[in-house]
Amino acid sequence: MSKSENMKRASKGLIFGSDNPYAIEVKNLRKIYKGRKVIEEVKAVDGISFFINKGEIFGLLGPNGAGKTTTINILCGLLNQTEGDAFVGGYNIKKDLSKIKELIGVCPQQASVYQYLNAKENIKLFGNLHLVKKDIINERMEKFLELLGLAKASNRAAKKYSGGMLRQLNLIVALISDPPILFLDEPTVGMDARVRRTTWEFINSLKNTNKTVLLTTHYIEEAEALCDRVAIIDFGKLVALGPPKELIEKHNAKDLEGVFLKITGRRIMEGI
Amino acid sequence: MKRQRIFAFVKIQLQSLIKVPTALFIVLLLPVALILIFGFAFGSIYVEDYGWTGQSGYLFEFMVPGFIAISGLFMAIPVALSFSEDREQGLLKRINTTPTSAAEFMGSHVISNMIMAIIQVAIIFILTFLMGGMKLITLEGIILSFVIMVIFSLSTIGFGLITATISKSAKAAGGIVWIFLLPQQLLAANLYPLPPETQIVTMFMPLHYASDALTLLFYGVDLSNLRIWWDLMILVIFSLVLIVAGILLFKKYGRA
Amino acid sequence: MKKMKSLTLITLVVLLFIPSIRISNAQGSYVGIQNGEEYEWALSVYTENWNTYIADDLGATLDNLVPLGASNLTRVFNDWNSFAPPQSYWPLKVTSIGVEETGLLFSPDDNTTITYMPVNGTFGWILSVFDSLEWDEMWYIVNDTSSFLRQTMNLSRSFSLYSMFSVFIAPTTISWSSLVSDFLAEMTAKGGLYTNIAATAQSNGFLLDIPALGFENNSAAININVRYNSKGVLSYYKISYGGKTLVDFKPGKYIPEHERVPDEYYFVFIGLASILIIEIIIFIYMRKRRK
Repeated sequence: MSKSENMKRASKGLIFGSDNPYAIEVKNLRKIYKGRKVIEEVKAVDGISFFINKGEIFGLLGPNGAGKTTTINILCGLLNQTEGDAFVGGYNIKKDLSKIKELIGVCPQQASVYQYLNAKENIKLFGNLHLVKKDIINERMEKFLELLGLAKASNRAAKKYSGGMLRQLNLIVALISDPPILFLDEPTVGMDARVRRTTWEFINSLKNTNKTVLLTTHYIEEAEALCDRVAIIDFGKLVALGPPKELIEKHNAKDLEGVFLKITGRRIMEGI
Repeated sequence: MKRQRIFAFVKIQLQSLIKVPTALFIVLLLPVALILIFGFAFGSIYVEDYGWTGQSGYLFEFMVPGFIAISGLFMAIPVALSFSEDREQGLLKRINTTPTSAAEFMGSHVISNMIMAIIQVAIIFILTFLMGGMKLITLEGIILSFVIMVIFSLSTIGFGLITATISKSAKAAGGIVWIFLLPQQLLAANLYPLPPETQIVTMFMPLHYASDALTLLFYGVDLSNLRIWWDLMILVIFSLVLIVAGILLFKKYGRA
Repeated sequence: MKKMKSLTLITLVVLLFIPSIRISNAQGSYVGIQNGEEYEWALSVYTENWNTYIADDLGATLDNLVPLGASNLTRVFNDWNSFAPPQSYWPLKVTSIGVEETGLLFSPDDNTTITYMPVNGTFGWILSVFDSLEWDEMWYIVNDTSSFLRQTMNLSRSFSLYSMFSVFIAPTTISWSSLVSDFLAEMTAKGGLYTNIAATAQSNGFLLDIPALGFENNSAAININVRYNSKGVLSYYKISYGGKTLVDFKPGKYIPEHERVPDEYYFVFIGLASILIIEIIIFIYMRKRRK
């Protein structure tokens, strides 16, 4: 089966590679950074397990340093896990990382684009890295730039963009290959309210395309607005999992912040 | 290895020549400046029995091979800065989440550096020719000069990678890279006569072999001369050693 | 139309052959060299082998028996012994080949008319980039074996390299066996110590051997080896005393110091190649470990 066929099947919910019914499955994942002494060990991710259904927008919510980015980095293949298994698109991240990379789009926390290139050049580059055809890149590029309001600034070098514009460009770059699985690491951090809303609308629209989205955030309202289900992480451990409304009802809280407060005794914004 | 990926990277790396002032200056303007400044400064100074060649001629002409070699060496700076900045901006990590292989990424740097080397040498040759130099070099010598500098460009990638590995930031890289550049420029560029004892030291510098071969070609030495081919052979191995060392070190220590 | 085509074809063929037609300058059949040809030899004086020669004062003996004047062998030693072999390189370039002449070439020593071809060229020596000398020279290629024997002063020129310079180019028609037998006849006629000189023809030259005490004062044997190539150009000269080479002269090209491959290059190459192999091994190991 060719790579493009692989991706088409994956986007239709037909995960190639195994009988795994989930888009992403994480089993007892651990990431421990070892220091010279045992006491200096840092458990960035400490035995978390969850699954993400196909076409779902799944949120990892937690304070800074909780292990959200570490989890995404492990699932993208940027970090090796210490223990546990994870499957992305049915493929094991230890054995089939190259196949996983064909299925995923990653919007990292840092706006990682070439500053001396303009938006179009950045988007075309990453489209080419995913071997997307030129006319398809152009078509998608025009659409996304229009949707996110970057069309007019698209010929300006990225170094002249505001923080919010950079993050939007960051997101478009992740989407240019039309990946069936998307990792968004704090996609709206640094955006003003207006731009954030536009971005939320954009991410919400991805539901119609049957994309699976794993989104990390420490913004409560973002998790509540976008996510079908949310996993709350604290100190590398999964402390709550479920649809936002159910979690709020279950813990008799006003919002997910309240849920976090009831479980951990702290506010999300307080950090770890 | 996919051509589409490699060419996409090559394209943006060559675009940096125009869009990034540092790269433009180092790769294109610096060679021009060297030739023009030294050409006007030394172009009218006639020397007899110069250096180890015993030839007589205008001082500027004796320095041209060294300028070519030094210009090539300077390309380590944009390479070091590029890898450091890409790392700082999270681009390396981002590229690592795409299906791009390390071979494709490095291959694109190799190709773009080679193209830049060709552009540099062409600029210097044209300028030198217009200023009345290049009297003795043959056509085969000119072609071989391009080959030498293309191979030498590989060693600059190695220096750049090693610098990026050592440096914590792009700013630091801009300074640290001179550890590799300055000794070579002062000792191995054949710009001026040095005592023979320094040769032992320069033999551990790739610039020596590039500069030595270019000097022989510029003096019209026949291509059958073994020293030219030994210089080329050692330069090939030196460049491979540096680029592989750079890749290994950067993979292990430089990605964080 | 057919005739025109044939004519055109013939014309083209002739035109094609024109460049290969050489306008002969009536070069004799015994002349192998061509105008513009270049040759270069390396001269080596092995100073450490001259002790017995000096102790025996063989120079004086040779001056007496084989008088060559200022071109004697000792002069070769004096000129070059302060450097390491090969001390110098001798480039020769043929600039023009004259018209065959007949005359008293070796007069007054030899008043026999000899037919010869004069050759103009440049000759000289190179010690280093900074020390060399070049001059215009003329050689004469005699037309037969007996003339060559006379030109070599009955092979006495072979007792010193400098004297051999006059007979750099021999006729290609030479018969080395005839040369040797004629020589031996001359030595027999001369009698005395000259009869102690043994001569042997080689396919492309001759050997002269004088046994120890053959010249009375030589405590060791003297051996001379001379060879010419198929073009008649001197390709090898060696004179030994007691089995040790005093001087040899053979084809070699001067390579200036800065054009020679330094010895250190070999070590650098081996060192770098070893490092590269280690790096490749590490690279493969790291890839396997990752898998």
